[in-house]
Amino acid sequence: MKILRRWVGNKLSKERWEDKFHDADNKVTLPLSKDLEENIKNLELLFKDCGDFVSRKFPVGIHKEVNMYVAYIDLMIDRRIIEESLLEQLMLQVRGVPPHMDKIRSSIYDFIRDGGIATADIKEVDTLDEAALAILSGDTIIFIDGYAKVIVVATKGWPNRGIQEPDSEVVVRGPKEGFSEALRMNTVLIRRRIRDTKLKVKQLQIGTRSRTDVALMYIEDIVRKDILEDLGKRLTDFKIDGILDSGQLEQLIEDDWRSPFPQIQATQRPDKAASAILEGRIAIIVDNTPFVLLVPTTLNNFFQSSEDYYQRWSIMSFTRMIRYMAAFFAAGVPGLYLALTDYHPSMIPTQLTMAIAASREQVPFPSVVEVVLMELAFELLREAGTRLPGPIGSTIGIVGGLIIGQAAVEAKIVSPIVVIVVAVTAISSFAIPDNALTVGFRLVKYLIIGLSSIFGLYGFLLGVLIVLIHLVSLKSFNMPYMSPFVASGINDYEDLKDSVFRLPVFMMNKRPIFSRADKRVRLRTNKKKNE
Amino acid sequence: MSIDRRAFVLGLGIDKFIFDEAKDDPSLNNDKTKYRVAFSFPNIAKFSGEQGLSDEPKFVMISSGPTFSNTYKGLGGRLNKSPYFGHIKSIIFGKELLKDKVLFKEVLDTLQRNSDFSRSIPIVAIDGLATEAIQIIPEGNPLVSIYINQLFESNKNETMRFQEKDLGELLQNFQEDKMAMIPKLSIGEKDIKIAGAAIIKDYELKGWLDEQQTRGALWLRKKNQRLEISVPYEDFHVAYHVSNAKSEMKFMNKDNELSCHITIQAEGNLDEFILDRNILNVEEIKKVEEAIEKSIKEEVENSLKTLQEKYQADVVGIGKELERQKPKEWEKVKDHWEEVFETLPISIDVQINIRRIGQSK
Amino acid sequence: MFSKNDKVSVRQVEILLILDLFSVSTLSFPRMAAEIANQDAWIAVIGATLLAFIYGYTITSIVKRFPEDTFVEFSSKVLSKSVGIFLSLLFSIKLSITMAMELRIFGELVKQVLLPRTPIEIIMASMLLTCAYLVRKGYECNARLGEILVFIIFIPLIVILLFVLPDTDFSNLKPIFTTPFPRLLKGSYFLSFIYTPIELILLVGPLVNDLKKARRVSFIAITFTGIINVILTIITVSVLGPVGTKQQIWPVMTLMQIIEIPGAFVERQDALMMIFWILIVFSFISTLMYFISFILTRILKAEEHKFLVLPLVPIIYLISLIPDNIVEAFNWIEFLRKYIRILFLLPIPLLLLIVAKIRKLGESIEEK
Repeated sequence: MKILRRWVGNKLSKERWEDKFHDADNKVTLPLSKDLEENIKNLELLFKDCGDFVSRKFPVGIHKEVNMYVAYIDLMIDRRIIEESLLEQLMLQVRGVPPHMDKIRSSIYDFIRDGGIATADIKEVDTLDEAALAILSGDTIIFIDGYAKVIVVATKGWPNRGIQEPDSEVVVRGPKEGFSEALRMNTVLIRRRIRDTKLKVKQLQIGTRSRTDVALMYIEDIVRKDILEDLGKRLTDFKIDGILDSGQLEQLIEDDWRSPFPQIQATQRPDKAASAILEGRIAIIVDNTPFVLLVPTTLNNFFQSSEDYYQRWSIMSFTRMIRYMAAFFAAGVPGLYLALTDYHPSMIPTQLTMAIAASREQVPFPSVVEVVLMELAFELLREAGTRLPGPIGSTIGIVGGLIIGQAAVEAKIVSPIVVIVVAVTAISSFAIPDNALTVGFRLVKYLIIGLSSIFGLYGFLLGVLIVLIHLVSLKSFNMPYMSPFVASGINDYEDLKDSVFRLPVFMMNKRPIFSRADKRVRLRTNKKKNE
Repeated sequence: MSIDRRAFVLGLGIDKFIFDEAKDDPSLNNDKTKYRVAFSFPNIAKFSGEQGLSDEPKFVMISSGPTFSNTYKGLGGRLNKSPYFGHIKSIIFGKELLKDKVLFKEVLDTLQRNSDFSRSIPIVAIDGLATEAIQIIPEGNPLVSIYINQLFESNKNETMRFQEKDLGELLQNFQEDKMAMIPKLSIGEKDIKIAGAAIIKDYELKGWLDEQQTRGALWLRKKNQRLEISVPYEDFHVAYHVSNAKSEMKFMNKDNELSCHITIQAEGNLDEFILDRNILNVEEIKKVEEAIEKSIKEEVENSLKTLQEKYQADVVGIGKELERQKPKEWEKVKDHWEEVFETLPISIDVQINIRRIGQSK
Repeated sequence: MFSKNDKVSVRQVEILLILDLFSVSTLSFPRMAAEIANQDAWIAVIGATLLAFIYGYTITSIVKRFPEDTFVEFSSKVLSKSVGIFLSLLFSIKLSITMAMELRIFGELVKQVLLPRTPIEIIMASMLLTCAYLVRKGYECNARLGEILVFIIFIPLIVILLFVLPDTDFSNLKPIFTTPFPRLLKGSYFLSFIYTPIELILLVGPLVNDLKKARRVSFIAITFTGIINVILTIITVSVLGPVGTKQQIWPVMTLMQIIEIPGAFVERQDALMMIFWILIVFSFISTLMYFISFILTRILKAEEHKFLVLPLVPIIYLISLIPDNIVEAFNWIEFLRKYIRILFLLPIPLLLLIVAKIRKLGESIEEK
């Protein structure tokens, strides 16, 4: 983490951004002046070689005394607002104002600002930097001759994907909305679900060139202040050119960059984000990406899917247990297979041992090579399947998996039991709800394979222990990663109710440890359950 | 080691080496060669239903040497894979081996010390050569050792015809009492049978019990026998199947003479009666019960008599029970328990209950 | 609460203690109990547990007087500084030898049951390195791992033990109470060494959040372990018989072989038992390693313990290679058991307690 930050900081040293017009933080240093012509000149200097920069200068007032200048970026704005609410007002209405010119002249700025523009969202700024930023964000700026202030009118209207079903976190029962790339749309989706005045949206900008808007959403009286402060510090602890996706942000603020396991969760579902906020976590929404970060995160969070809470507890507890088993299988099955067959065949029932021995007799490679080969082949298949468009992708799955696998067995390159082992591992890794965690197990699997092939069952256990030690020492924003399973006495074992199994809703009446200690009760039922 | 580099030994037949002029190499005729051991390996491809390189269901290798370990390590020059004992299904001891005290103790020590041998391996003894027995191909399952293992299974679950013994129990018997009973294996051309038992006292084979006599010992087990018994009743025979039985021993000391009283209680089903007779009345049932009781009592008394008089071997645990119940008495007699056992008056009392009589009257 | 990796909650100490108490001799103590008391072995175990309560009481009394200090500091305060340092060094040497011998025996067992062809040096070295990895991360990580391991170890163990019940023959426990009483007493005394890890409480003072509950926690740990030990002894003797129990080096392992789990696909459960044994030994060795480096850190008054861990690894490794075979290793442990182990359990804490009371050192409940 620290190395990454230092690297980022060193590379992007002051000299690169500084030039005549910009300072060390890539902010514009040119001043605003009262003279319209100078402002226009400066602005057009900044936007030199920008073909999409549109500007218009026009006079207002009955005798066309005052000059105004309007500028925006083509297609980032909603043209209707500009034409109807802005230009029409300025050009036509203001012109028609009866001449009390002195009064108007002395404060035409105030006049226009207060009455001339028929939109609700108007700001005034007094640096050229903010003006430029506003243009680049899709607003329209108005220069008025004689005033060193700029009016910024909100006219954002760029093309957008809109709200669609999220493709990666699919549920059978539950809302089907997903975040989109526009920050404001995403905050709205969460706002709709939490109509609490204590829900705060703290905005900042990250990236000196990208100036990406980032919003932190949390509920003020539930969230832990120390985590919030820590997050604030981490977000300002580095300087980077630009971030394009929340993933980059995640890697810059996470606790341990060396670990294969993710310490921050990303989601595309607004209901999941809202649920996390209600638990006391903080949602980080990054403009231009539908993936919202949730902080802090424990291992258990990756095994929870939103559907768990909408369906009934018995089936969902069962599913949870299967997921945990799947995680274990995804990392451990190939290693266990190697350990048992190569070192302790007495532990496998005789029939199976004979079958394995018979099928291995004609295979040329040692077991380890077989297993690793098949695993890598599977990774290839998986990668290929992701890149290919729709129908071809699924065909490859069937072709690759079934036919090539079958053919490999018949050609005696691998034995059929290894195919089963690898298939079970792969399917298990798909059963984990959050894809990011799967990667961790996929990587760890090779460590365990390595140790099992050298030390048998002992090596398998050592591998598992090493992974456990690592997991146990991980922290996500100072919250232990293995949280519900360790130190759960802190919250009266409340967190355990939602881990390997999911207890009925009426039993989970306290918030998990993410929230402030004194604000934990979230559910009170009136009726007694025995009646 | 890769799994296909292991040769899985499924069955073991251990004999004392006896030089056979016709078949053996003259170099083996010396004092050093003590053991002749047969190792039975399955044809693993055939075992798992595939087409393998050979058609035989198994192959047997016989090796001779001064110690048991030497015999299997000596397979090194003949066997293309490395022998592995983790999946042994049963072990057969030959008669001559059992008669030789020293050799038998050596073998037992190896089996105990080497952790590859599981303590739950079934053990049988044969009145003949174990190495011959291993080579038989019974029709039910081509590997004798698996067949024996399966016989043990069905003995436990279906009808008991012999007293099972596995390696762990055998070792325990020897440690505690210095004597044991090993089920007897008999072989035919294409089939094998386990019935009766070998009596081993002080690590030496003393004799054999036939099937009837072993039954008596079976009755004296503590619990859970499932025995079938055919009893003469009037002019026909009745078949009775015990589903549950238990026995209790009590010791009395009258006028400084120790005696033992055994109560056997059993309940079970009436499997066979005779057509045209009605069993559905209480007196009839009582009469049948009495007949069965008498028959069982005779069997047990016979077995005990053989054990006491012919062998002086307390393989049924009477001494152990005495130790538990009356430790002071045991202290007095434990050093010459054999003689005491020989003349111990044992009285038997049998109580039978017929619980189920089937579908018809 | 979550910020540093060094303070643990009382519950975690409880769990760690239970884990540690288990490891030392679980596999073999039924044999020792049977050697002393035959079928009354379980009575000797109960006696040992009662003795352990006494040890626990003494030790927690002295620890409670000096909440922020470890044995190193308060022994220096109560007796003189040089005596304190000498005792602490003795303590660390004793722990090192124990650790080395445990490691050696563990290595022998693994080699025999699981990996006959692997050199024992590599087996031991790999275990040491994994422990070092954990220890460097701090005591709280040790505690967290302990919480997870406790479930992984105990639940399957208890389930498997349930399957042994059909083979038990409780009449093997008869005749009861025939062993002469003095022998039982002596046996209890000898057996109480299985509770030696309690002495580690002498060191945990500054690591624990709430020291007042320490006494209760140590009692719970002793009781829990005691109950399991007694049950284990009873089961072992009833299945194997007193003679059989005496004969096996590791009777619990033998027990595992006898168990038949219906329907389970694993045939040789003793290898399965090794899994538990490996996890238990791992936890024990890493705890000892932590405490040894902890003592040394306190003696040298250093800030961090991490840098001391790595040099420990080769030292322990070399010590564990000294015995020629497992018999010698057992001899070393016997020696330690007879003469030195008891020291830190009773005499020294008692001495410290009395002197502290006389000199009115440390906090006591009456003063508050």
